[in-house]
Amino acid sequence: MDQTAYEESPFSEARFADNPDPRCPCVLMLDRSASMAGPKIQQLNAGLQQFKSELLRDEIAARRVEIAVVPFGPVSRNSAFYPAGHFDPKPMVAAGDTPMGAAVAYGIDLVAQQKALYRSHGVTYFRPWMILMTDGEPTDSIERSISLVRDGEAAKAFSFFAVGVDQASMSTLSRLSVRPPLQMRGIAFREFFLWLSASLSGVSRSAPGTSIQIAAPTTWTIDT
Amino acid sequence: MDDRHLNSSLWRIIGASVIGRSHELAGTRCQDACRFAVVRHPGGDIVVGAVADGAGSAPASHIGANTVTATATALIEEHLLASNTEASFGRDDLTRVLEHSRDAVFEEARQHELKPGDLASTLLVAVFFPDRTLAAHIGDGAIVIDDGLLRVLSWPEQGEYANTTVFLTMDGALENARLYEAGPVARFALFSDGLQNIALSYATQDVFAPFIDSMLKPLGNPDVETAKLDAALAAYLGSETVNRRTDDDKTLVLGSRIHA
Repeated sequence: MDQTAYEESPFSEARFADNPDPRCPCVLMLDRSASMAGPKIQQLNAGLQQFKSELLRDEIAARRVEIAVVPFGPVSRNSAFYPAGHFDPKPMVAAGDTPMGAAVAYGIDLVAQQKALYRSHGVTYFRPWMILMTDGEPTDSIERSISLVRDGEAAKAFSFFAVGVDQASMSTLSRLSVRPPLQMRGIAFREFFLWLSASLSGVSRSAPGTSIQIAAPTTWTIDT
Repeated sequence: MDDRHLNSSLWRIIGASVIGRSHELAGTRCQDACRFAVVRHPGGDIVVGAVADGAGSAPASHIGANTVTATATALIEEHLLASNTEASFGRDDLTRVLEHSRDAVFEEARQHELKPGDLASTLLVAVFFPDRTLAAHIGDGAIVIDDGLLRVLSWPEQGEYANTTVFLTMDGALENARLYEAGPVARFALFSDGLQNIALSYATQDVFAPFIDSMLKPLGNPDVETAKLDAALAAYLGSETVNRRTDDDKTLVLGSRIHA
């Protein structure tokens, strides 16, 4: 833009509304049960750190994406959403069982609370992403969560993705998730979090009527 | 349009649709469109304005936005010129204009061998009579009027999520179109969603007056030619100052009565 033209613009005194950025919430429900011990939990912890730095590299995503982590085994009930800059994932220690049903129900609660918070502050938001990641079988009942996920997807309340690691029961994940579950290749947590941050970057800048380009998750999944 | 710079009119109107940075980078064209006209009428000048924002995911939405704004303004002008009394154009007439404009988009799609959804766009249309205002709105963007108080006549229609809205070509769009009747206005602004975040305050659900007011103010200065203001508006909407705050296409149509 020609600087002189701008200086002379009759509109140059305009001031701009300072609305908060629309938010792009994402809940990670992460299995940290005893079976995750070893390289899996290490790579998962490293992946979360890398997820944070990837989001921070993208100015828009850093302002808009908000992350909540729900570790389960047992379910931590003090989760909250943090923007990438304030996201400080504590390294998880692998221990305990796999209360998948409770974790999913709690994650859905968190999403509903966060939407209410956004609305009360006049903050617009994108459809939340919910990601369940597990390497095992649920040790609690998942029946209630199955219907919560089904109802939530039908109402477009969130997008729910299930990721199976290692020996995860893919048939259980198929019952829980409306979308086909994804099976991670080896311990490709790094590739998974790269894909996730790129996908959320896309969502966080999407405009009405624009189709969001989500890359196929081929870098970290096994074709099933 | 010939009527664009009618200095003899009691109205001064300028408008521009300018490509957003995200579309520039993606190599797509500007998908916004606008049209406006002053209709000289025995009962007094009548202003017709229309703005449309083509859907980013629809391959020919720029055609849809152009078709719908051109059709809507032409039909309203035609109707007004054919009638002797301004009062003959009412809600039902405006509804028919919306129907025919939608039909025109469907017809345009057929001619291009495309689906109507490929030409999806929003639509804001307003008619400012000497003694009243009539407007219709499908989708996002907003209509702001000054009838003593600068206020939002029509707020953006958004779904629950920031990236969802309603388009003219969708099923039920006409049935759910929002129609407004108001008194006469001294000034107005019609704009597309590219300017929503800087022209509206979401916390107070109101117009952000310092923006709209400073955009309207130069129209009241008789020393600046309308053609120059028109060019300055397009330049300003494409400036770094604006592009830092929005990367979408942006359209702004501004009108102000001239006080003799």
